[in-house]
Amino acid sequence: MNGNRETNRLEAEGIEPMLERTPTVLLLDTSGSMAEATQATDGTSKPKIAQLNEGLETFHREVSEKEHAKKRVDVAVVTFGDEPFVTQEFTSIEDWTPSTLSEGGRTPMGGAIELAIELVDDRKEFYRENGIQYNRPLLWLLTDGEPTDMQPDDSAWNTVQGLLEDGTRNNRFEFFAMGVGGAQMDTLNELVAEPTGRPAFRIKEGMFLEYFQFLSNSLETASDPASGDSFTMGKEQQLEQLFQVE
Amino acid sequence: MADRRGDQDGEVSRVVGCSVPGPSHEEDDVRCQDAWYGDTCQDSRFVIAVGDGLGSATLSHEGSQLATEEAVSELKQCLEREESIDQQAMNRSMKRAFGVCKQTLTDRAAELEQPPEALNTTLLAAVAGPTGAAAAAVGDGGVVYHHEGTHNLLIPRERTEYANQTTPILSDHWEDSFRFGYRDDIEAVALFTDGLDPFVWDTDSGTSPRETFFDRVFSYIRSTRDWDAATEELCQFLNDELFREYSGDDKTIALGVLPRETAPTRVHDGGRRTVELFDRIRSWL
Repeated sequence: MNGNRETNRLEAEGIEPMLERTPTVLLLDTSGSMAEATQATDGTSKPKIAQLNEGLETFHREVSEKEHAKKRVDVAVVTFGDEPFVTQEFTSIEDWTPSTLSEGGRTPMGGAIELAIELVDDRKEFYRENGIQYNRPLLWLLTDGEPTDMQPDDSAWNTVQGLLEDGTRNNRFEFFAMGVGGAQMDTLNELVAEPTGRPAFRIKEGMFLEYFQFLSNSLETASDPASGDSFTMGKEQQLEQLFQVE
Repeated sequence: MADRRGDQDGEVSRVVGCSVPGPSHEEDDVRCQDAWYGDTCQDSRFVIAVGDGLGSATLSHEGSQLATEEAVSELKQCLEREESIDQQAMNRSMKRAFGVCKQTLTDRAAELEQPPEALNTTLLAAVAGPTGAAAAAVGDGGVVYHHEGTHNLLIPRERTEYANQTTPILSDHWEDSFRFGYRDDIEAVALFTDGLDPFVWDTDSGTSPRETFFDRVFSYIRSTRDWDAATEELCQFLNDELFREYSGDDKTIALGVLPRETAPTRVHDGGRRTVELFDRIRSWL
């Protein structure tokens, strides 16, 4: 007993922590255009898909090194190339081994967004059923093109916009869209800016690695209980280095 | 009225607590935004308040300190007007006290030429005595009572979908978040901020007090004989490596213990960190 009369001490040992989770979905474009080479910031020319895979490894490593994040972040991966696909179901970042992604197919972005939102809803239900506290889910989309499974104002487009708007308005998740390389930023902004209240960001050429470092820093903040509910995307200097103002 | 036979046989209420900065705030050189305050009345009743300043509020360390001191002052005045701790009366008094705290913060912000939100904070308060115990809260954290070997919530845990969401006292919706609880018999009570959340809630539902944690805390408070060391022990407990490793947030716990029999109390120190009121401790064991 920890209230011994002779040496009365209050001990914390053995009180196992129950930590809240921060669910994160990476929506990654793995369409055929990701085979094209671009110059990375280290000066080398590599296919975008190779830079994406390196970025995933960096993301995994950096989050795993952040004390509070590594114990709290749950990650899922949805790719969209041949078809929208759950490459990784939700798992803790500590149990995740990024798989090597390959490119191919078109850009079924709409289907991927719907799939990601469904994943998030199911995950929250899992948390609730198991008495697990959680933070607002974060969805990060990265594309080098534009959606090929929907067009502005068709029914699929309207459905996706409706989901994004509903999710944002009702605080069901936070959604971030990033374009890289040949991304059609006008189309991307038309899709996400109004429903999410946030524009799409263009990542500067070749900055895949830096994007995933930025992602890991953002998750460190998001999963830190001391930072409260006000999620910010990072310091202004970091944003200016990474994103190109349109 | 208790027999006043002097220090050797008396037993009085005890109020003790500690707030410590979390490692995340230490790294960023941010002041501890948690605060607590407590005081007693002459008939062994006591008042405790705990607050957690919002991370986004620039002066929330001052907000939590001001709110807890104001809450204790208001509630103590209320107790001095009332003979007993009555459920309905205390519900009204708590709400009134919280309203006064809200206004105090707003006035202070105006003095500092800052928006009121700069001092935003959660607030939890409890009063207890031989005739009952009552608690109220706006925001996260919790209040747990001890009675006949068991622990339970005196007020329900704040219900928000997300762990990092809370409704602070300067929110327009603070009254929606206002929770009140009452019991006519307790032996001790603990108030704490959400920096301790990973350790204080049960692992099944996350809505009940964790037995391991509160067994230790209440057992310690009931058996300690060195009250000079009690504050230090609580602070060391909150700064334990286990707690620091898994929670980077500021942490506060404040405890009040009722005597077995009513007895007059003597205020030794009305200071902010520790209010220890006792002539002699009778063994609880």
